[in-house]
Amino acid sequence: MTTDEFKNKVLPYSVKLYPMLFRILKNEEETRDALQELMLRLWKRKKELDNCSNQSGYIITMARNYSFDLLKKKKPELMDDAHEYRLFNKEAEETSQDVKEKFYEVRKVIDNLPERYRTVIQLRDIDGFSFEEIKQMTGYEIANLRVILSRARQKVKQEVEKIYNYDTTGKYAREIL
Amino acid sequence: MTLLENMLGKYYKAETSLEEEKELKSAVINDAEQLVEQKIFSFYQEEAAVPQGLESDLFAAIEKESNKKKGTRRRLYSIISATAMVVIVLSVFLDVKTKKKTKLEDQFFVMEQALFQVSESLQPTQEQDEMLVLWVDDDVEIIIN
Repeated sequence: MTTDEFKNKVLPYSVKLYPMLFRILKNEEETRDALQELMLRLWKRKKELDNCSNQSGYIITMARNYSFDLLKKKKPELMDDAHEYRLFNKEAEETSQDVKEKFYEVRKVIDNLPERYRTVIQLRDIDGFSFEEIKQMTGYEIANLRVILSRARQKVKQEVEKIYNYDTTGKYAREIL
Repeated sequence: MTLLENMLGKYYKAETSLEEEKELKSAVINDAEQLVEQKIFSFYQEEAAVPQGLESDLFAAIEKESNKKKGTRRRLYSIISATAMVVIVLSVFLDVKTKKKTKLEDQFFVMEQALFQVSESLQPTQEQDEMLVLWVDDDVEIIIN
């Protein structure tokens, strides 16, 4: 595999893998380093990748194993300033408190989902992995994955709706007072 | 039922493809109506954001690693060739030295032999140890060598 082939076939996975690794490391610099390490590992195994009939599966399996290693090593840590800035920068631009709350509440809803719901919805709706790739990562069959994802999406909607209604009520209450 | 609603229905049944989801999310985020999905999808979009220039940075690292490997290999080859040169020069040098030593030894041996012959020719013949004395008296001695 030449560097250009690697650039076109393997490197695009970084767009999906970055958010996934970020959720583990919660730090922009560490995530960049980890992703670079993962890509270098894949680069060193480019011959195996060439001979592999299912390249996507190979990359996903390596990424999964690597993230398990990271999880084992990782100690609980707060998110870094850069991410905090990135997360809230948009809100600062819009100068609206609602935007900040909106993201915070949605995040909380996702974080409170049962683990398999949370994992599947994050892999699909945030990272943009295909069902086949999620199957390789989680071990769930595709039919089962669809069920989990469907329930998780509905659950998120219900919970966010609840919070939104609550917030609106709160706003009205404040306005009345 | 609008196209958007229809698509949202499919989305909640997890029947949409990745492309459809991409389009749906973009449409909902930019939609004027304040749907609850707008908040959710905006959150997903925010979470999926990657730093600018991520891929090019990663590619640069890969290229660096690739060049480093090539450089290491080149360095290894140059070390091996230098070592081989030293070995060749040394073996030639040692061979010449050994040959020279052997030649000198040969010359010394020839010289030694020549000197030995000269010395032998110069020395008087030694008396034979074994003599047979046949007769000895005051006047006559009869000896056979």
